[in-house]
Formats: sequence, C-alpha cells, structure tokens
Amino acid sequence: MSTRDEREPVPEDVRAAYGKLPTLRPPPALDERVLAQARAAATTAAVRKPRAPWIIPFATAASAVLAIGLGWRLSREQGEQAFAPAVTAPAPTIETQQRDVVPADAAGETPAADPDGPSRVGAARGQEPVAAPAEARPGSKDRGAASDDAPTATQSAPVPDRIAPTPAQPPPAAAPAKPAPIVHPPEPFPQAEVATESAAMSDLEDERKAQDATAPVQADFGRSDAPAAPAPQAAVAERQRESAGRENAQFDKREASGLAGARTEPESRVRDQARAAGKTRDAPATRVASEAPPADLAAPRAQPASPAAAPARVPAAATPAPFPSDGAPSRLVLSDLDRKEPERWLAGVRRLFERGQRDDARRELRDWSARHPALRVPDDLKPLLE
Amino acid sequence: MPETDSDETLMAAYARGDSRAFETLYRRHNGMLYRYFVRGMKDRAQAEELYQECWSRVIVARERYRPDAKFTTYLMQIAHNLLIDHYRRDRHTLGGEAGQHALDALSAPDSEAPERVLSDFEQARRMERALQELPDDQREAFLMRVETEMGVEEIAAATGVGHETAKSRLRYAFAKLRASLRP
Repeated sequence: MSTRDEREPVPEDVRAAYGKLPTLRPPPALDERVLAQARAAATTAAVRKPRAPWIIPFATAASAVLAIGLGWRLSREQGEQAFAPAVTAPAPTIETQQRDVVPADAAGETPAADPDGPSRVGAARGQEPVAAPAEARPGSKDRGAASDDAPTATQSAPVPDRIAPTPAQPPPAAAPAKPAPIVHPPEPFPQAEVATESAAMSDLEDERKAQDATAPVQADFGRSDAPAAPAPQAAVAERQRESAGRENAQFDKREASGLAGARTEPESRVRDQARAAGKTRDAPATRVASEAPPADLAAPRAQPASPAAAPARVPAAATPAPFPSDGAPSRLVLSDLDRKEPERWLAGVRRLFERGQRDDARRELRDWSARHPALRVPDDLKPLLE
Repeated sequence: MPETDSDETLMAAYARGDSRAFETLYRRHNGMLYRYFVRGMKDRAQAEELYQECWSRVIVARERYRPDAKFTTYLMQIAHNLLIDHYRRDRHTLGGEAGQHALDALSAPDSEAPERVLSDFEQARRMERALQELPDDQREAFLMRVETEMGVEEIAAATGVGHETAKSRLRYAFAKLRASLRP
C-alpha cells in the first residue's frame, strides 16, 4: 500500500448511521445460482480436453515443409522458364535434315564403335587421295571452313554433345550433301595408298577416338560420299600383308641357314609368294594372275590406271595378301619351284585337289602332263582329267 | 482450500478449476457486493441482476485474471462498470415513489425498545435517503469505502479516476451525509 493510499477516515456519526442500515445479504437462491454457474464453468474447463502439446510444433513443421517444397518447386520452374527462352531451337542444318530422313536400319548400321571406322575413312580417302586426309582431320582448315559455313545456331545453341560439334562436313563444292546416305560400290583401291595406309591409319585412329561421339553421324550422314563396304577388308588385307612380310623374312633366314626343307606349308606358300613377288617386282601389279586375290581386293588391283604407272604404285613391301578377306583358307598356288620336279609338281596338284581347288589342280595337272608327256598321270589324279 | 488463503490465491485456484476456491471467495465478498448494488440502485431486482452479472463476469474472466492488484479492487472495478452502465441507461435516482418504496422495504429491528427502534429506524431512513441523494460517483465512492474498506487509491483505481478525484468524492460524500444526519 502506497503512502498515497491513505484511508480517508469515515466520520463516526456517518459510520454509526450507516451501521444502522439493515445488513443485506443476497438471497440463498441467488447464491446458489452464482455458485452453480461457477461449478459448471470449472467442470467444463476440467472436462475440456487439453490441447495436444505436439499439435503446434507439428503444424509448424508441416507448414515449413510445405512452404519450402513449394518454394523450391517454384524456383525450379522459374529457373527452367528463365533458361528456356535463351535456348533457341537450332536451325536444322542439312546434316540434321539428313539425319531425320535416315531410315532406322541405316542408323543401326552406323559403325559407332566399329574399330574399322578409320578404315572406312581411309577408303573414303581412296576416293579423294589428296584432299581427303586434310579434310578428314579435325583441325584442318577445310573442316574449320566447313564449320564456319555451318549455321551459327548450331554453334551457339546448347545442342547435345553428339550433335553440337559439326563433323567434318565436306565443302559444298567438293561433295555436296545428299539427303540420304548412299552406299557406294567399292571404289578402286589405289596401290599407292597402301604404302601410306599404315601411317594414315594411325592418324585416323587418333582422329577417330577424338571424334568418337561424332563418328556415327559423320560417317553415315555427314559424309554421304563415304563408301561403306570395303573398310574391314582393307584392314584385314593390311594385317595380312604385314604378316606375310614377316614370314618372308623368317623364310629367308631359314633358307640361308639350310633349313628350307623343314619349312612348314605356310612358309612354303609365303616363300613362293615372296619369290613370285620378287620376279614380278618390276612387273605390273597384275603379276599374280594365279593368286586369285580376294574378290574385293582383286578388282582394284587388277585395274591399274596405266601399265606404266602401275610399277610405281606397287611398293616393295606390298606382298599380295595370301588370305582372302573373308577368313576362308587361302588358295594354294604352285610356284615354279614346285613345278621344277615332276613328283613335287604332282604333290602340289594333290594339295590343290585336296584343298578343293579342282580347277587349279586340273590346270596344273594338264600343264604337268604337257610338260612331262612321258610320265603317267597317277590314278588318284585321273578323275581331274575327266 | 484453506479459508486463510488470500483472495488472489483463491482466484488463481479457481482459474485452475477448483470450484471450492471460488465458493470460499464468494462467501467472503457476496454481502458486500450485494449491498453495493442494492444501495447503489433504486431497484433491488435490477441490483440482484447486476450482482449476478458481476459474478458471472468474474467466473468467465477467471483465466484472464492476473494477481497484479487486489481481488477486491478487481471485483469492484467490474461492479463499477456495471453500475455506470446502469446509470447511463437509467439516470433516475431514488426519489418520489421509488425512494419511498425503497425506504419502506427496510426491515425494522423488532427486539429493541420502541423509542430506540424509532430512533435507529429514523437514523437509517435518513441515512438511506441521504445516500440516495448523493451523486452517483460520490455514493459509489462512499459505498466502496464503507463496504470494502478500500483506500482512496484503490477506489481511484476501481473507478478509473485520479487519486485526488476519488478523495474529493469521498470527502464530499462524507460531508453531505453528515449534513443529512443532523437533526
């Protein structure tokens, strides 16, 4: 109680007179009504379920989660919408148009992971011996020019990686783009290209790895002039030529050391081929008329541009491939050494006959009979003459 | 609930649901409040109505009660507001037939001598009439003072006026009553 809360004293006469007033009390009924109301209020408060203590934190957490999720989604959508106008649809280049018209089976034949891809490019280079290598290299000037000629939309627009780098599109003047990939028949395989094929192959291998993503598109669509067929055969022929060179070197060593008689049959064959090549080294490339090279390789090699130019195009190490590209057993060819002795010649004929080269065996047997008229044709070989 | 607990403690207990605490609290203040309304109004029925309404407000507002002030001050503040509203609705003061009817309603003590009874009855009648003739604010201040033994500051807080105003009202009320009681 503050000092100011002074109790103003009630005068005694006033207090006495007021005390003479009857002492009023509320009626019991009124008291009961008030008390009943108070009890009812207290009972209602006790019966009323207390508010769940977790409801407020739960509701707050749920609201926060919803708000965050909604905000995140809205921001994401806004981000996409903000990014979308910047992406202008790239103008369809000739290349993409070609890609659209490519049938599904042609796309399936795309040698994306084919290790012979470079060979195909090499074969394509055979069609354009001079311009093709520079054109095929990724950093070449021609290609850069071709890329510059491409629409700018393909360079600025975020195009997928496999599409964005415009592959080595041939200059319009050199090879105009065609609407669909055309599979050319095997072109003549220039012999001069064989000597540089290994080096070019290594370069192209690197190039192919660098352009691995774009190789399918480039090989099938971008380079509509790229021949499709002879690439694997060229690679196999290259390997065969290298193998034959090694075998010739081994044979020469053995022959020099007097082990020629112990040579195996392939060695003999290779040696004969090497000798034949040595004899015909100065001859045109058609010197192995009886070798019957693989069908896919024989045609180009049997058609030199000119007889005079042919020797220059046959490299010294370019031993004809003894094996066909299809993996079948090579055709056995008898050499002059085999024909030197009658028995040996007949043995060769028998080998031809046993290998199924009946025509060759028959021809060799007729030659043998003509060369040795006094000798009798063995009985086992008589069916060849029938 | 012990009878010795303060009004504030009882009110807090009732706010937690203890109805017996409210009953104790009610028994302490029911007469005072009842007299405050009956003597502050001309109509007993209306006084009882306001009396019940005052307790109802206490019951409803039990959870909002804060023991910052005395419960008596809190209770009389509610009663004052009800009475002010009643005054505003009916500016009539006790007088005429209503005043006479109120005086007639006073019960006379029957165990005293007739002279004494007459004197006491006369004093009470004068007191009742003088009380009804007081202005509302002075009568209200006087009733608070004599019925609840509230100080000036508490009266000022309950009636919402300044300290000096409450004190002045009390002094004016005392003076008028003393003048009315003189023979």
